This record gives sequence, C-alpha cells and structure tokens, in this order.
Amino acid sequence: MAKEAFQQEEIQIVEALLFSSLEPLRQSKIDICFNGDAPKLQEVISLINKRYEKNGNPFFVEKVARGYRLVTRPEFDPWIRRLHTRMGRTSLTRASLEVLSIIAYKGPVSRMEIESIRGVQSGSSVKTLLDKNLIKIKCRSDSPGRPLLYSVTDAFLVSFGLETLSDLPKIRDISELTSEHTPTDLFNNATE
Amino acid sequence: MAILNYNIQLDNFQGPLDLLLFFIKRDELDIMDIPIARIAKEYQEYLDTLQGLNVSVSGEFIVMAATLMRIKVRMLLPQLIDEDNEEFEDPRTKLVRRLLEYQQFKEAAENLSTLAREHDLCHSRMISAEVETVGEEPSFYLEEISLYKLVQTFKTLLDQMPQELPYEVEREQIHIREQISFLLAKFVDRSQLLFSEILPSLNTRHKIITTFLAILEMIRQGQIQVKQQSMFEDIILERIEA
Repeated sequence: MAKEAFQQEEIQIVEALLFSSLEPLRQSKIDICFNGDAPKLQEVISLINKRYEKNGNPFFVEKVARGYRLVTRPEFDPWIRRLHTRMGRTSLTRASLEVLSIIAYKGPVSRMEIESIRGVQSGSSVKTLLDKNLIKIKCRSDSPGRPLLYSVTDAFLVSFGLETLSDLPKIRDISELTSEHTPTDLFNNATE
Repeated sequence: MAILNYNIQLDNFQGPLDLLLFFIKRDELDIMDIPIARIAKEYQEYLDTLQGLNVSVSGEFIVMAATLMRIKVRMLLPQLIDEDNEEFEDPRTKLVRRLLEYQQFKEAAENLSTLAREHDLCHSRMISAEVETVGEEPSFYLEEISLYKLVQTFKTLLDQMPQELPYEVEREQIHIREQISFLLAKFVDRSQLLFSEILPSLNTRHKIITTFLAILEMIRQGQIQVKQQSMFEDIILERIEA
C-alpha cells in the first residue's frame, strides 16, 4: 500500500487556505501559517487535484503567478456568468494588446522602445494598462533621459493564467525568419 | 478608380507598419524581397484616399511615406561598392527588420488575446476586497500596492481638494505728492500734528511708507519740522509758517 505522504489534516488546512485566499497562495504564506513545519505545497496540490478529479468536483487548483488558487472548471463559465452578470472579461484593444505583449516579452522596456517597435505613439495604451494594473513601472533606465521602464505585474500573470513569464507562448524569432531566405539580387527589383 | 480598390476599414491599422504588413499579406509578397516601388505607390494611394475623405493622417504615416520614397530612390541609384567591404547593404534591410519585429509582436498580441479568452472561463472566488485587508498584518496586503497606485491615489486626493480661487492683486498707486497734500490738509487749522494721529487713517503698509517719505520731503522743502521727546516717543510734526 502506498505510503500516505501527508496527514489528512495538513491537506485539509491547505484546502481551507486555498478556499479563503483571494490572491494566488504561495509557499511563503503556507510557511507562515504552518509556523515552520509546512508541507510542500506543490505536492499537496497535486494530491488535492487528483482527488477533485476523481470526485468530479466542478473546481480545481490552478497554478498561476508562482502560486495556487482554486478556480471553477471552464465548462461552468456560462452558469457563473448568469450569476455574476456584471462580471467583465479581459478585454483590451489591439493597440493595448500589442503594447502588453512587447512589455511581457521585452520588459523592462521604455515607452520609446515600445513606440519604435510599433511605429506609433503608445502613451494612452500604456496608461490603460497601468490603470488595469497589468503593467507597472519597474525602474528607470540608465540611458539618457532616464526613461521609466515598464514590466508586467502578477495581476497580468493571473489574468492570462500564466505561472511565470517563461510560460508565455514562444514567439517566432526574427533571426529564424531571416535565415530562411537567401539574399536577393537587388538589381532585378530596382527597375520595377 | 483607384479609390474603389480600397474597401478597407480605416481605423483598422495600428500604424504604418501594420498597413505595410497588410499590403504584403494581401498581395502575397515576399517580406524579404519587397517590391518597394509598388508598395510605395500603394501606400501613397492609401494616404491620398484618407486625405480625400478628410481623415487626418497622423505624422507617423507621413514619415513612413518619406522613408519608402527614400528607399525607392536609393535602389534606383547606382551603388558605390567599397573595395574593402564588398558586402553591400540593401536599402530595404532596416525597414524589413522593423516589419519583422513588429509582426512578431503582432502575433504575440494575438496569442495573448487567445490566452486571456481561454483563461476567462475559469473563475476564482470573488470575495470583496474590503473583507480581506481588515486587521491583517501589514505585510500581507501592502506588497500588492505599487508606486503607481500610490501616486494615483495621491492624484485623486489632489483632484478632490477645493480649488483655490485665483485673483489679481493690483498695485495701489499712491504718490508722495498726494500724501503731501493729504498732510497739508491736516494742518489747515492747527500747527502741530502727532504722527500717531495720522497712522490710523493709513490702512496699507504702502501708504504708511509713502506718507513717511512725504514727511521727509516736506522737511527737506522746509515746510515742516519734526520733534521727538525721546527715543520711540511719538513724533510731533510742526508746520513752519512761511
């Protein structure tokens, strides 16, 4: 018989903490609550998730922003939205999404760099993202003018269901794109 | 006729790079080998259409039009190839890099959007924020407050402050000459005046100083003389009869 790694009580405590917690629950908080003799969160969570799945519970524990939180399964979304009629969706304009992706992949990054990539002014999108708490002012650059540098927040990770920034979907590398092509003969095109 | 080809939603483009990518995709052009003359023409026609519809075109679009023209010209000019450096730079390289970089993040933005849509289906418990922060150890909730949030709160407070009503302060125009006649009027039926008698009728500092200067002027002209019993005593002004 497999050795039960955790006491039933420990699992229940973690479940209770998850249930009561609004922010993703992290190991550091568990350590404070257990006063030194805390169980490994990651292992307890995987146990809890297995149990939920076996019992057919409508919720599970999601790993997000370096922590864990209890969320409902996707198929219950329509019902939940009927209950919470004023609940919003993560809706951003294309401009804001572009700015957000530049900050997520290249951050900390200055507004100038964002604008040079997009080729258009992006101040209002930066403001929107700051207001929505998806990005934050990280620090100032050492380059001339000491511009503000922006990076994404934990709220960003939570909204997009990411554990850390390295879980962002990979983007196509420019050098990959360029190396696929052979240099072209300029003079064939010049007379078009 | 050209206008008929442009059934494009006007505000659909995020900027000049986005517009160029649209042309490249629509016409199935090779991004690494852009027919610059053709693209420049299309681009310019698009801008003309916009302006024809009285839509103001932002500066960034104009800059790109100029960039395209410059590249076109450089491609038509014969190139001087450096003996040492046989590699010769395609004038389009810089633009292509920018297009590729922008395209990269355009795709990334779409991915993010998909990610958010999928994740919007899972809901965490929605406890109202007030309940959470009461009676907690500060470190439990303070870590979520960013500098931006703090500045924003401060700004909100500043905005709520009652507005100070600005008003213009005009300089009072008082001349020594006026104060001399003012003093002379006081001497009409008497020969002595106390400085302390005059003071209450002088309601501004400016007036007091001017009056004092008037007294000095009258002494100089020999119209009056002043006496004082001892230091800090009242000053007696005495009319000198001509």
